[in-house]
Amino acid sequence: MRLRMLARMVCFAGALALSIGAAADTPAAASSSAPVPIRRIEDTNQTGGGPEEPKYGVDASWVIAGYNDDEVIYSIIITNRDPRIIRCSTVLSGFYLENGTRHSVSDRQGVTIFPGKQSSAGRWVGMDQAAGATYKVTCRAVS
Amino acid sequence: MMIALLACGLMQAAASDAEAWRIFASLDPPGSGRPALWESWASASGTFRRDGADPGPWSAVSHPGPERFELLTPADFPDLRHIVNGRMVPVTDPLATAKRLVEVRLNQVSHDFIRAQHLYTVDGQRRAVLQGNVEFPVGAIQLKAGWAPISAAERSQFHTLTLRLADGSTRLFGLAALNIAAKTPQGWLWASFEHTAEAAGAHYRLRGTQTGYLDADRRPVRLGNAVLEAGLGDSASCMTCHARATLSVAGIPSRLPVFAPAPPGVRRGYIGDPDPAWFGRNDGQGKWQMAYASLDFVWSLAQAAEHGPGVHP
Repeated sequence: MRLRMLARMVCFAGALALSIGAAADTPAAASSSAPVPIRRIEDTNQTGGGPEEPKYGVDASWVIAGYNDDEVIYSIIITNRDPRIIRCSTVLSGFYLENGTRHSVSDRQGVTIFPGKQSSAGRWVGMDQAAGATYKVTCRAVS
Repeated sequence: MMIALLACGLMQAAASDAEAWRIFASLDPPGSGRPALWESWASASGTFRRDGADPGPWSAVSHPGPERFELLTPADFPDLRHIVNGRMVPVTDPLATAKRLVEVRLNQVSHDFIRAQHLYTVDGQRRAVLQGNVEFPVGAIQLKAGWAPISAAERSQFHTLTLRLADGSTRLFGLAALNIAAKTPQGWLWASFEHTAEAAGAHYRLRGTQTGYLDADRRPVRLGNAVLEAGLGDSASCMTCHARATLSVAGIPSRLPVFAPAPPGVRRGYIGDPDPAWFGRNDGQGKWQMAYASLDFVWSLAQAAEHGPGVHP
């Protein structure tokens, strides 16, 4: 601590002179406080259509979380807008990094949803943010 | 003049480094083989409780288990799945698969100040910043530790931590990085330590210290830990980053983001002198309108719950 105080005292005069000399040409710092952008999650043809296909909605989203915002969490929520019970299959695809190499990864999750209700199809973490993710949801009526 | 300034810079750097090592040795005596002193300190998760309650006196400080680590858990994100051996599987025990554990600890000076100023909730922080009461006393120390899984054969090279997993087994971690922020009579001192396999004896090296935004040549000081600030490259500055530890003074509580805008998957920090425009703006009539008030460089305050127990605004 004593050494540091001594250094501060010795340097005070020089720093003062420098600050006076530099005050006139100090550049304005470029800055922004906007949120950090990340890769979006994309739909890949979630429905084939047809008269028997139930009505449902899909809400796919992502959120940045984890220490130093180093993880992206993808989330898919399905809402049953049909009078029938529906069974939905969700496939999420993307990539992950391991030892500097990018690998593909895919996961299928199923969920049963009653009329007028919504349910989480899943939340996924550990994927490469830069590569983003794609998903496909298919639902069929079971009642 | 330039020679004098260069000498000053070198003297200050040497003084800060010496002080950093002194703090490191006092918190983690080499060769002790026991938990470091800082491992008995309050964790940030114990100080900033989820229910916003007073964390209580130092003598009764709680020591949370695994929840003290900054991990993504099923409790926060139900149905969470992650990749293990190339396959997506449910997250059952985050400790079992974590590639890294990070925790923040606060010493008694920090803890007592946070209690005294009611900084453990956003409501309390709002009152304190408006009264100008967020100025941590000299002696306050906060640190961030990064642990990495290691093998038993590596045990002698690390300061270690053994954690019990949900299935009853144990997992060995080694201290990979330690960032220390200490309030000295001259202001905050940041010191960043990293594990090294090459060091004889201590196995830890001082990556650097920081006490100012700019060096003697008016260039931005860059300092980032290879583990804790991985991916920030040359855009890491402890002091500039911590200068952004703020709270909005009006409206819905918000804080300045830690990171600068960057392309997807890229993280950038801030370096150099803080931009006054971060914190407010001129109203056009010569009056400064503050939007974000400083929290005295202490980022852990961002973990505070919005209100205390029973407060329903």
